[in-house]
Amino acid sequence: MSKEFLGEFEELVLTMAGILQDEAYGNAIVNEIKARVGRDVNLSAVHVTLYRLEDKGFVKSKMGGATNVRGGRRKRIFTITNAGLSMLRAMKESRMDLWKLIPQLKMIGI
Amino acid sequence: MKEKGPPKLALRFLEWFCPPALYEGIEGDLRESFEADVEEFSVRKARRKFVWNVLRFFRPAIILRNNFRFKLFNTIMLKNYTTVAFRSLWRSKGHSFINITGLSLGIACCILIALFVKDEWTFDTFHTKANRIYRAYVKEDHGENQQFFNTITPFPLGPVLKENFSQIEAQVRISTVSSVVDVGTSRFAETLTITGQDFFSVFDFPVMQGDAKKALQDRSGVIITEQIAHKYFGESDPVNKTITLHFTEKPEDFFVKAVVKNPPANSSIQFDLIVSDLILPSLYNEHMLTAGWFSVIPETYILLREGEDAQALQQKFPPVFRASLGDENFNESKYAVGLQPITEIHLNTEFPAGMAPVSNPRYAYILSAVAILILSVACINFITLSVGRSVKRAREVGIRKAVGAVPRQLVVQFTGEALIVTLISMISGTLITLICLPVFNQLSGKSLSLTLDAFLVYTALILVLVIGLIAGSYPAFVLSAFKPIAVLKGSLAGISNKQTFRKALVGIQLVLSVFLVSSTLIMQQQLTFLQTKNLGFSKEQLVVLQLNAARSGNLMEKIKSGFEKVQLFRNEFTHVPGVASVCGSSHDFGNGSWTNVGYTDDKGTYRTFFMNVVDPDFFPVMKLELASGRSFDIANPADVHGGVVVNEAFVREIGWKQPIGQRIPGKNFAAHEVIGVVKDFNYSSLYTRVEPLVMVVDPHIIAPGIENLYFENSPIPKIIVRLKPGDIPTTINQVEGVWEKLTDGEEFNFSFVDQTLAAQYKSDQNLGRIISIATLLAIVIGSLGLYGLASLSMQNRTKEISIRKVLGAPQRSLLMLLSKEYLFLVGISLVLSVPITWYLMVEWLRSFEYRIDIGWTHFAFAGLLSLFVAMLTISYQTIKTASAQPADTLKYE
Repeated sequence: MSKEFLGEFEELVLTMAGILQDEAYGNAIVNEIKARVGRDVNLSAVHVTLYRLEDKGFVKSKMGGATNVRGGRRKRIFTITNAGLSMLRAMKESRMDLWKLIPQLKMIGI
Repeated sequence: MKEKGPPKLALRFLEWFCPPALYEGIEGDLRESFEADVEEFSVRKARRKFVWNVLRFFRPAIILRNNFRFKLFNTIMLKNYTTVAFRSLWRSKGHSFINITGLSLGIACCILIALFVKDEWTFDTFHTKANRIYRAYVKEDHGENQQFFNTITPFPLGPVLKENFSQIEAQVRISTVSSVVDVGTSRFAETLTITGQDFFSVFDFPVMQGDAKKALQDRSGVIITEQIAHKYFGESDPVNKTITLHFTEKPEDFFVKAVVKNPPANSSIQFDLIVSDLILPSLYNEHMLTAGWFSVIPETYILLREGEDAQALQQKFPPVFRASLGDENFNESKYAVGLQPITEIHLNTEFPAGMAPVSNPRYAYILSAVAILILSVACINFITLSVGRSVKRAREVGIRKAVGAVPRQLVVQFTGEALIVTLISMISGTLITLICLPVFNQLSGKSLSLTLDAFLVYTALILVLVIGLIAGSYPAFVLSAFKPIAVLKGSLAGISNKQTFRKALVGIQLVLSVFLVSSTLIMQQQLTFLQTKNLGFSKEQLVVLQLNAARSGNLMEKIKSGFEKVQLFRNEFTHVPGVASVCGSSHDFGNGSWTNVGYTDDKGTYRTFFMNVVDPDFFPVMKLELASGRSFDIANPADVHGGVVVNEAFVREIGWKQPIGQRIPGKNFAAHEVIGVVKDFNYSSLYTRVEPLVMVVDPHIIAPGIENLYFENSPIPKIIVRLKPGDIPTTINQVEGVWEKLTDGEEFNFSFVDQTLAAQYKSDQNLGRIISIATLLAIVIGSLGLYGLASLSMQNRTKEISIRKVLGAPQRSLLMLLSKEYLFLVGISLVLSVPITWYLMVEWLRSFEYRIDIGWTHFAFAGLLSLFVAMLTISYQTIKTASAQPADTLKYE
């Protein structure tokens, strides 16, 4: 496994960037997290995380086309890189491996 | 709420802190969510949320990205900035020279004075226990103006304090005694320092050789400084060598047990030879050492234990001293003992001096002020010249702005240029300091040295930053405010309109110059006055030889045997052709206070007078004038044994109408009568007025009536020799021959009275010299600046002048036109500087009892001089401008 690790929030944001594809920019990710996980996250936190992911090479960014909304400001679109994808996969697999090691998972308390 | 968009202030804030690369994306996202919020809630709430969201972005993860980019950008431009800075320095060599010279001189002054002030403030702080060491002082108040406040203390004080207070870890008494020292066949006159065993554990004086602590437990042990070791033994090992000391009638052999480093110059405790206080019983009687509460001889230092408070301890003193002195003595004298921190000894003028003189902190303040004045003059040059020259940099600024430089970058660039100039000045200023240090040491009477230590580095750093920022920021802001369109179009309107500010700065320089010039004039006149004032006696060609005290007998007997010796000398000197006349006197001039006698007069009033024991020749030799009566007649035993000569001040104090035949109104004086009144002469310095004086041939007349005795100048007789004009060195050699013949080879020391008198005013003379030098520097730097400024402002007016010329203005009126504004400035500065100078100089003169008056002539002269220098400085430029050919200057229009 690579020496880079992802925090829980980083993983969440990276996953969302993977889901949204060409529409992955700050606000969209905030809304997507709200919609899918039901979690209120702050825009600035998402931005900071995205920049950090970019530093680590898991996403890359480019400016999108101009729009009429948002005061004419362009969007910064983040795309997940191959490194990002394999990182996500590696994390998922290692978690599944651990998951299988829990024997009595099924019905406690239900 | 009428505004519908997001708050502008928040956006501006975001733009300010946000890295430009990220800004667009962030702002866009923020706007988008703002728009969503407007839909969902209200404009008002959306705006509030917007501000909050912007604030949330103000976090290190965003801001630090910013810094990284900023630094990268800066390093790219740095090379360009430096190149441009040096290019512009090089291109205007004249102005750079003026700036760097001025700043270097200013910096040199500052470093020198910082060294001086540091030395003053760190006096006695080198002891590691300095915060626990205190010097004891004694206050007595016997009523009727008989108050005594001494930092010299009685002998029993130290031991009593140590015995009664467990808070005191150690006590050290330090006294001195003069002694002849025989080393082999050589003989020296020295001062021995007598001190207790704990001396080296309380104070930090490094021991080079031997065991100094053990040496003080040995009555015949002596500790010497490196300097003395070298003087006595040269290169050979001094330890365990024998030297003979003559501090009592019986010479005693002492053994050198240890060598210590010379005490540092910033120590209040100075010594050459140290002997143990075990010798005290040979010098003073039992009573003096154990119960002499009213005789002050040693300084007493105590070391408090860790964590003890001196103030609290002091509160507990009175009962102990009541017990030691007895109720009656204690009540009558209101005996009070206190403690003064050792680090305060040097600069606290509220305490009387002990063994070491107290320095007046005033000098440190005056010097600091002078350094700052010179530095400000140099800084003002820098500002006026940079702003004046800004026209030439206007295009550069225009282009930089046009290609995208923001004002902040330009400010950084120009401040940086100022810092480069300051840095260069710093280096040359340090060199100047190194060169000037010996001269400055001589003037300030210190032994300062410039070492590359943290202090110097910090001083240099602070100076560079402060000067660079002060002198650099104003021009930087002026330059960076230029409008690119205006300057690139070639219109320089609005640039040269900064005249008022520059004129104000030049005005400040002139005020300082006039102030310094008039102060120098007043000080020099006062100092000359001190040298030339008629003192009431003739001080020229007078030589004083100090006799060593006879080794036996009490003070009276020593004085008597001294005068007998004077007689021997008088006889021998008749054979020396260069000697005009000889007399003996207990006191000489300019070496501290004469004997001061306190007595209670017939009406019960406590009075004091100064006293001098003289021989009858004193009057003719000193050329004193008598107001009435006669001086002593050697042939008349009544004069010699019962005659008294007083001065006019004495007569005034007592209020005698007919002084001759009177007696001094004290009960216990022996039978005597006043035979003459001498006109007042300044036997003390001109700082004080002439006090009542009594002169006698026979001190036994006065001795019985003395209630209090004080003197700084030893009353052991001196031989005063008046030389004939001519070959003084030969005469001195012959005098030395006589001295060797009559004293059995004691060290020959002599001094000229006029020099000793002049030395009394040394600190003020040095101050005068320093102010003169400062004045010269300020004027030179100021003139350089004025010259530079004039050249700039003339350049701007060349065309105006040419047009005036074409229209028929005569050259004379043009010169007047160009000089007029400077004349006006000099006038104003003169008016402003008079009150400052007046106030400060009156303060300074107040320390002299005999002083000159400040007259308008001083200011008139200072004003004229400043005007003359200013006119001379700008004349080259004005004449050049006024006589330029209009054809040359206007042909390009």
